[in-house]
Amino acid sequence: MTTKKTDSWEKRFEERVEKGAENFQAKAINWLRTSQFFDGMVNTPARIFINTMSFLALYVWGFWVFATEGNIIAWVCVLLLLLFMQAASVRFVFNTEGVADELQIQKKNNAYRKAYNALRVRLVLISLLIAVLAIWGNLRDEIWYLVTFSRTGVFYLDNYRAIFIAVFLIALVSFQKYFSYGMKGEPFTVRENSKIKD
Amino acid sequence: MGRKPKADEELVFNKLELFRTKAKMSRQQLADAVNVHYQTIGYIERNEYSPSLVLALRIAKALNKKVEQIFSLEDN
Repeated sequence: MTTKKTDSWEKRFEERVEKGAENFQAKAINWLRTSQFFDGMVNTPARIFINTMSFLALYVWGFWVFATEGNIIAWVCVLLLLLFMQAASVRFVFNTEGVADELQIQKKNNAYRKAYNALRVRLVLISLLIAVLAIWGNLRDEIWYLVTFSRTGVFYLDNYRAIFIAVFLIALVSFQKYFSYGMKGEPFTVRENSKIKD
Repeated sequence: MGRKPKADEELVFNKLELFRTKAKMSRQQLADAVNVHYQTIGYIERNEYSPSLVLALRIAKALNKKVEQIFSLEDN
């Protein structure tokens, strides 16, 4: 009898918790879908700015960090910040299931397709570059100095640069889908202003 | 970056804006009624996006019209 009572109490508690979690999730998704909190980041100028900053941080600052063994921590922090800005500027369509409607899902899928192609091309180009540099360097006995500003070895790959390459590859894959999503954002017009036209 | 229908794709035309304004609904109100983002309504109205059948049916229901009254294959 007591066991039965405990079982039913546990079941009711479990159901209540599940219901609470579902309600919370539904509210969170609804907020993300309709909130104007991130509107400053979703318009086209903001997307252009965020994309430009991301490109510069990833490639230009990245190259500087790689070549000079500069401050990688600051670089990673900025990349994380930009990644969050990117996610907010596309209303988290890549991050949260159920937030996007069918048009946004289509845009997301297109972005993934383009990103896959872009990454494939980049990886082929990078592999070819490495192959060319390796062969050319083997012939001349001086490899990689173009990339590392150093004539000290074939793959002048210390721990620092190994970490850099790992971070860079993760960042490249993380950012590419946002680059492929495109620059076009939502118009400045807020929802209240998209009034009835007569 | 809305999907602009390509020339060789079959276009679906619509009178969504007309019926929405007749129903005195804003894009946001219609979007809320059919559970999409308000921008999606704009894309459909500009013929930059052809909605799925489910969404077309939801829109028709929200505007109290038949699907074929709103959407058609001919631009008339």
